[in-house]
Amino acid sequence: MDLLTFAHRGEAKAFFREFPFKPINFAFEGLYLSEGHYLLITGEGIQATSEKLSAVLGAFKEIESIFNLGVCGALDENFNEGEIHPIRTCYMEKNSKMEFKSFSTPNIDGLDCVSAHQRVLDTGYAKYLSYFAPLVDREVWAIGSVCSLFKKSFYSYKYISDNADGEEICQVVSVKAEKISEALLNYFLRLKYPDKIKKIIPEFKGLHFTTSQKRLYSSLIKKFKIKGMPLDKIVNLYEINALPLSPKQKAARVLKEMQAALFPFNEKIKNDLQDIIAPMEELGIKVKYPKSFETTEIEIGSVIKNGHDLFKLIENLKEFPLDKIHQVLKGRVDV
Amino acid sequence: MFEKVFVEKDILHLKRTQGILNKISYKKLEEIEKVEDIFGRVKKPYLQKRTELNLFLGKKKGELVKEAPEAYGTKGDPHFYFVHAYNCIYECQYCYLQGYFHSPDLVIFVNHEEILKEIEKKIDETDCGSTPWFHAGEYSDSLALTNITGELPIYFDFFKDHPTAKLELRTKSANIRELLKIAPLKNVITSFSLSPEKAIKSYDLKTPPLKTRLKAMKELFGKGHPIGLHLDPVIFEVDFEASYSLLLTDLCKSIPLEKLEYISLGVVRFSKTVFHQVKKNYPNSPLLAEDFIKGSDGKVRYKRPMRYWILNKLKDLCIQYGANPENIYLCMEDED
Repeated sequence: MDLLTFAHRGEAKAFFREFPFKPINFAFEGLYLSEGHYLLITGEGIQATSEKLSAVLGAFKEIESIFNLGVCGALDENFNEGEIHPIRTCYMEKNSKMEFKSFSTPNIDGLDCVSAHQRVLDTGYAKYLSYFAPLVDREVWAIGSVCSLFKKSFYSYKYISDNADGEEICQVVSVKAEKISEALLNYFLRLKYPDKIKKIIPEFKGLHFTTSQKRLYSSLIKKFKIKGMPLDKIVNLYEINALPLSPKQKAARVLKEMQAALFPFNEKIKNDLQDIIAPMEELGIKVKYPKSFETTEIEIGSVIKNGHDLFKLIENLKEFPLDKIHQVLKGRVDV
Repeated sequence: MFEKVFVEKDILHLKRTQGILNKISYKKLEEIEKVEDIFGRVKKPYLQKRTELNLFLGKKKGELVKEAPEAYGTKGDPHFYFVHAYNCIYECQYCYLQGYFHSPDLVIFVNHEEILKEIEKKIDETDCGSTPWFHAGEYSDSLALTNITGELPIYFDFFKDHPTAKLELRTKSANIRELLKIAPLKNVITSFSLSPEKAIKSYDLKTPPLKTRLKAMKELFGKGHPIGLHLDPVIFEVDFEASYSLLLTDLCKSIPLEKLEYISLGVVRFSKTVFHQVKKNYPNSPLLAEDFIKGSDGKVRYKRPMRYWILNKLKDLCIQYGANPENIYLCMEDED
């Protein structure tokens, strides 16, 4: 579900005509719902926008993306009144100082916009703001900030209404509301929504993935895609499913085979270590090495029931292949 | 072309500043008090360098020459780096400059005389018998913009008078125009960072192709300039040995490996923050399909056996192609 936000009701006029928005009984006025969209009138300024948007995103978890539409001023003479631009990165000014944090939309070809705490009344102030962005508004940074907090994607599209000359924005909007809103609506209707990435959750019958295994699976699948490796040709799910294993063991097997295919060097190290350790394990000596391979420390364990066991262990440890293990951990292997 | 050029008022009139401004194109020039008033004041996304790159010209303040981290260069000698620029025109996917300054905009400092005074102090403080090394390019490419910035002759003049110290110019560029105009010095080494052609195309975006860099190395070497080599960062590929063999074969046609001043080897590594930036900036990079771990020092890199395997293989290859083993050192990695 998308949420459309506007600072002023006038900017949303055409949207109310186009979609059958109905008011929602909420903590404050200004929230509407139609099929597929919520619409919020935030009011002007950073504070009002932050407060209202936070409340709405906290209450309506089904909202995934936020589309901010509205007016802005141009700080650069190369941009003209009536143009609509997607916003790329938004910055904020407060008390003549720039806030360090910035927020970006996925629109990498858009323009940057600085949200000012006060109206741009003098040219010196406008010049200072222009060092950071060609557009100025009063809200978009707040939208970015709240969306970052709630981990929602946000988009912003700004209609250039003036040249940031201090004209009362509410007045501009009310006078030109029809024109501005119509232009924003037409722009919005033409927009192509970015493809939503489907979440990859393994749903194989007969396999059971724990939460952490699902996470690992998703991360491995992404790596398969980056490397262009076809999973179905590398891991035979049907074969694994037919094995006499529990659903959890089968899931672990799938992950193991995926890792082996992606990281053959790692697999080689594990196998080499196992080959070295196997004779010790046959003698009842358990050997543990660091899974990350980052140190050469190893742990040795054995059950001692009597003096004979202890003597045997001491004798066997004389043959312990420590050097060989260290060689492998230092990458001295044939690949 | 730069979007905007911000110049500190105090240096606008300088011949050096005007020289730079005359050689570049830009849409707008803004006079400012201090670079730090604007640069880095807001977090500007790294990839905006592709469409909207600004340039700042100013004076470097604070510490001008810094001690280099351990294993930065050849063992046993003190190593320093000096800062005369921030950021780079290239876009290497693993680069630590991503997000380092919170802005990809370029900053060029023009107070080279002050930097050299600091270098001189460090030389004076160095024990007799050891060679202090000074590295340019910790936060920028040492050669990429030298035809615009024009500082090379100043540094060559200085190091000519200080033969006990060494200067390393580290680059991924092939921009040797200015260097070719200067008489070579034994103690000024130009070192090239190379990777196999396929890796350059995949990861070192906007850098010159391998062929061009090899040509530049050959030309410089032919003119008598000492040359160093960095095979760093190495990124593992299935055909890793074959691709580095090919690279070394091509390199030998430009310079015999035994003639190189040194070869440094390093495996790709990231700080946690930089790795986060890589994920953000290049979500489909093959780097993200690698089997990295976060090491005890907080670095994200290959697992230890793999790092050692890569470095040992590469060292053996270099020796096989004629490199002097004593001139090979492992960068940022314990050698045991």
